[in-house]
Amino acid sequence: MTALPFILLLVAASLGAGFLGALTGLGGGVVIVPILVLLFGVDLRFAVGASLVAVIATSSGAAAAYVREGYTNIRVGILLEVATVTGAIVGAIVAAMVSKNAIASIFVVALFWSAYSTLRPPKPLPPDTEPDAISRKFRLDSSYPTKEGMVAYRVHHVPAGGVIMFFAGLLSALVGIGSGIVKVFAMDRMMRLPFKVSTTTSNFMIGVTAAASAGVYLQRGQIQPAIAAPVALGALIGSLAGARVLPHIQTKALRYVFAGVVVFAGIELLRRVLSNSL
Amino acid sequence: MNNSAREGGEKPTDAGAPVHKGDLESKLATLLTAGTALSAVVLCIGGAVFLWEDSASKLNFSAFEPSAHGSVFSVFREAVQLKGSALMQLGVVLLILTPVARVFFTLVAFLARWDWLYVIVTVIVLGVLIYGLLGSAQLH
Repeated sequence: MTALPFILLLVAASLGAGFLGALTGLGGGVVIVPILVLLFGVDLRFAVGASLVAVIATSSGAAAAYVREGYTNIRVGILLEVATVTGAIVGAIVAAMVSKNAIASIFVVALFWSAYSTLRPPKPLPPDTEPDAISRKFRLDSSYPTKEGMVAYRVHHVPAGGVIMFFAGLLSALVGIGSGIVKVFAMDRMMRLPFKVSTTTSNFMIGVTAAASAGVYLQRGQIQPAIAAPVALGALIGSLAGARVLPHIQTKALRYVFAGVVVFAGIELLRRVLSNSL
Repeated sequence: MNNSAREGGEKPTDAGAPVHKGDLESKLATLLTAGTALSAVVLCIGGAVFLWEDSASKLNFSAFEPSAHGSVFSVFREAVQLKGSALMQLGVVLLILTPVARVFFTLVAFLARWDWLYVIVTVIVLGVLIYGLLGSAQLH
């Protein structure tokens, strides 16, 4: 492909990925790597690098609004970032030691998990009001805005959450996604933060996590500007547009479409791994 | 269930929170918006210059060959020459630096409040980030 259509099509495809990612809550990262590898014939190592940059762009763009509205628990975010950035650096180092097939296989698992959780959102848990010693020490308990005004909540199981966050960072760095599902799992299920606080705090952490591994990839030459720049720009515009229309539309049918795309991408990537044609 | 010794009493929210909510949040939001907007502008300019230089040559990235723009400092140096690919990479680096700037700004806010526990936590995060950006070159 010549430069002009290559760049413009990359912007358009990433715009769609960012838009759907914002509407389904999955983030664009999960489809950007398959788009680059399967549709644009880009090497997996460049695809992961570009996807991480796009993940940073969408996270920073969305985080601004959530932080201002008071959903994000900044202390929980910063504390758990110790675990995610460490995992991200380890993941970026490990990525250089393992084969492309290994990375793609891990990616396939992440794709199927993403599709599953889009179609089966977890049931809300009742709030846990028991005080927690570590949460008290780090002053993590907080409150968040709801229709009925500010509602207080408590935070639990910080060490267990931290361990999962390490693996979220590792996964993010290995395959170039935000790992929002893993982060939300840790905060919502394990640490018992309200769902809205979990998703917004996850988004807040995603940019920092991806920046840690993107730094390593940059120095390794895995960030190719002619791919990363159009992808980041498209994903950013798409996700901002998605966030804007989100309150006004029904997303149920979209979730099925998105899950279908994700499963299809997973199967196709798996086929390439098995036939050794990545 | 709360004892009176606990700061904030019945509501677990208010342990040092009043200063926190609002002020820091709005500054962080502004920083994130500014960083993303600046990066987006540089990415657009870089992309336009890149296409203006040569829009007809073939691009093929099916084989991995390390990109020429591989360090934070060299990206800034190269961008001064106003080459398209260097400008695009500058936009990318600005995007990567936006969350780093956010962590740095949070550190300053915790320092200003003498919140030592979180100063330590933030310094660790910032240290790992800086290692990723600058110090990991010898790993390859």
